[in-house]
Amino acid sequence: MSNRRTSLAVILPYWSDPRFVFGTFAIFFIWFSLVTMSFGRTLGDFLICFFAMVSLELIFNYILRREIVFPLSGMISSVGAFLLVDTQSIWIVLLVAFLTIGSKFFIQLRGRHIFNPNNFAIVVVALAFPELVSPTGGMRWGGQLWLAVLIFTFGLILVYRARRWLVSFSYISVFFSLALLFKTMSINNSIYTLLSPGSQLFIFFMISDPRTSPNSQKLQILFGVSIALLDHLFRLNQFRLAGLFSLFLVALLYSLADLSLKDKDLVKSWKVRSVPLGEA
Amino acid sequence: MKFFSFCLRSAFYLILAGVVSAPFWKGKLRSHTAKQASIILREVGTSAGVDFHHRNDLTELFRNQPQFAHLNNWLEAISASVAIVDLNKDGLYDIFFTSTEMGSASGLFINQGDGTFKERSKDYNLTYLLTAARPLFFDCDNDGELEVFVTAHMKNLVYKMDKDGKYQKYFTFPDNVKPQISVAANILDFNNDGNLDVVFGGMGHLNAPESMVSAENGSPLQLFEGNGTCDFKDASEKMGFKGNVFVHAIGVGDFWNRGGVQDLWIATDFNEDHILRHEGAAGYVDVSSLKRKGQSQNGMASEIFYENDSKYPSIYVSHIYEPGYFTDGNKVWRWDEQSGTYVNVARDWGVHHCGWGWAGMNVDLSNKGFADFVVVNGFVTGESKSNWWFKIQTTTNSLRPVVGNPRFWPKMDDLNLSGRQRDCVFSNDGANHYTDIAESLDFDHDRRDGRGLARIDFNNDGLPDLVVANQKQRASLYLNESPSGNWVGFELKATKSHWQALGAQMTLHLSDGSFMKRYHNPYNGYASQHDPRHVFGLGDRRPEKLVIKWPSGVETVVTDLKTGTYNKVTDHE
Repeated sequence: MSNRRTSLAVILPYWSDPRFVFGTFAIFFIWFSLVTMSFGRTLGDFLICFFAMVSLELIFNYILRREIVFPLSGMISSVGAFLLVDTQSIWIVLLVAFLTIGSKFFIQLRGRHIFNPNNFAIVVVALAFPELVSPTGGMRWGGQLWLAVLIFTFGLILVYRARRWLVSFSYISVFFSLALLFKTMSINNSIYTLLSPGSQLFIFFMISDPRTSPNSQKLQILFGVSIALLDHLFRLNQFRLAGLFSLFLVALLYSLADLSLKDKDLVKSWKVRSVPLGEA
Repeated sequence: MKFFSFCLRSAFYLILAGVVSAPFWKGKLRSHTAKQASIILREVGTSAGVDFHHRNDLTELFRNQPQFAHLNNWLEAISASVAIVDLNKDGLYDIFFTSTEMGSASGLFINQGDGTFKERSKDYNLTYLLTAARPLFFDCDNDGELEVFVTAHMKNLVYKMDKDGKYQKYFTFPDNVKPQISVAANILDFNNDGNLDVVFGGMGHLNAPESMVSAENGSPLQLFEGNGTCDFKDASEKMGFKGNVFVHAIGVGDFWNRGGVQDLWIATDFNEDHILRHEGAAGYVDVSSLKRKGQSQNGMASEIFYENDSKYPSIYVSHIYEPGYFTDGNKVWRWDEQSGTYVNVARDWGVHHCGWGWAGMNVDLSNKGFADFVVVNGFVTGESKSNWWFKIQTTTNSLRPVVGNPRFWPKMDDLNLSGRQRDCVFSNDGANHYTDIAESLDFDHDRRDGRGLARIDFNNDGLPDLVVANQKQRASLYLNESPSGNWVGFELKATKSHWQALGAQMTLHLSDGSFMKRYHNPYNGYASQHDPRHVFGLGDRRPEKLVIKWPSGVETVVTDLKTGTYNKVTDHE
């Protein structure tokens, strides 16, 4: 609570905030999921997820920090949860929303949240309620090549703008190399996973989260490599949440290591401006 | 504000603790909700002489298809079917199982009337049917004798009974020369000419689906028009059938009460179910978009039934439920008149979770006046410790060039894929709240991989007994020993249209002002032909009158209804 304010203020993002880039792409993802029958999502599903996240972020910020923050993070998280969580239960959606937003405020080290909020909520809920929820399989996207190319392109732009391309590419390099080896040795077919739109979202939109991934280039590489290695380890043991849980663990380890590394002190991930209420 | 901050923090940690500890308290919660219902189903297969083992080793058939060798357990996992038929016309219903492996014997079990059966397939020349899957007994030449249409991996055939009472090959359906996994079939009279027609689909010609959710590289859906002599001509194009789909079942019904039409619900795998609306001579129109969005890309069964006091039929479609992978499960599509769409109510009813579901049946197991659900399940029982789910999803989550090429699919070996699951008996509390009581009934105690599920009343006591065709395993016969409420049964015979009266609609009005409806088509469901007689469980109510809309358009009203027996009804009355 180091940045607690005494007077009420509205916190607004700058237009250069890379989250706006994601927001632009998100419009496409939402449109695609709504018009694609196999996704099984309705506009109502999205609106529930969206308003739950946005409201929760506003409430949490106001109660805990006495700030009125433009809920851009909540919006982004709602898109993530909407796309990545397969469930038919509205309670699960609300639970994911609560844990997503709550984890940002209450699971922190040195005043920063440890986990990518979507990742945290999905992992916890998917482990606890496998009969009600599963991470969205890549198959829901329909397997069209053009779509994979588009997501890949979006991803490249985003990780470049967010200065996290090293995380994504170190993950891809190590995952691909090992997957090729395992394929050659007939151990598994995990190499095909890389082509999945679901995996690309994970690689470019989740593990590269500027808030929870390292700032320094060396650590970014280590971060991506670690996730890829753990991912393969879990896959060898047929753990269905291999990728998501790898990120969960590596993010936790990084946060602990950062207590001494102070990597997060180097650069602020993105800037916001505070406008006293009445001047916004 | 500090107080609210404290509350928010506490709520977060409490909820998180609840979620993290969920695996420990969920089971306890469930055990409190299970309750015993007055249903008794006893497995009597062996003691009743119904000792049948389905076989389906297709090595011989797929010998020239090396690209599929590693997927043999998958390909050999769909075909076990059953038909209930009174072949010797003694008023006792018999059971016919097909066996698919080349050289393996199908089984015809003739009801002896004393609770036992005797295997008599050789007497009827029905023992060795080439790669047989689904048998459908029907009268295609209007002579009162039943022919049998058999879908098969090699060729779909119609067998006709000769003067010695033996079935002989009569008609081979064209355009089905490549090996095909095929159990989806139904019998109807789509043009109301009094001659029965055949509709069937398949699961592709030995090709992998190009996508797990939107594949269009399966088999053509085919409609063949009968001419009354058991010769059929292809009417698919004329009636607007198009596209290639992976089909498990085709349900026939009058979905919007228009009369004289036979709409189709196509339970489709690797894509959305297709709904084809019959527009008379203009053919069939695809109205699949009337179904609300949901994850329904692995439809297996297509059971058409009416809820009590409902004008419109609902459609039960079994799906896959596998924790962590597919969580939506079975569907019950109910027509919502206000929105003009089909809405899935399976979750509200509690019948959505039953493993990898195949045949499902809406049946009143104790004649209490409202129907229960029985669902059989299990795909491939293999080695128990490992399963194929994780391996296969790495391929199926990928792009179409990978998904659609069997070379890229992982070896199945002897891995388990939703095998060893217990079938479900969903008991209805009368308000469409269902509880699975299979475990307390010890139903499917050795967890066989069920496929076809047929209703039979083999002792004519009005209680529905059940037959399950299990894939590559022993079949099950369940004698229903439940305490029975009042019941009234009907056996239909038409004279102004085809005598089997397919498409007839029955409405039974009861003493309390309520009504029950049935659509006559014993081939609906999955891989099963049911006892064609209809039993209405009444509970403690009395039947007032039965209104039948016959396929000819004639409407009859029967008021002299005898309970506790089967009433023979014709369109003369």
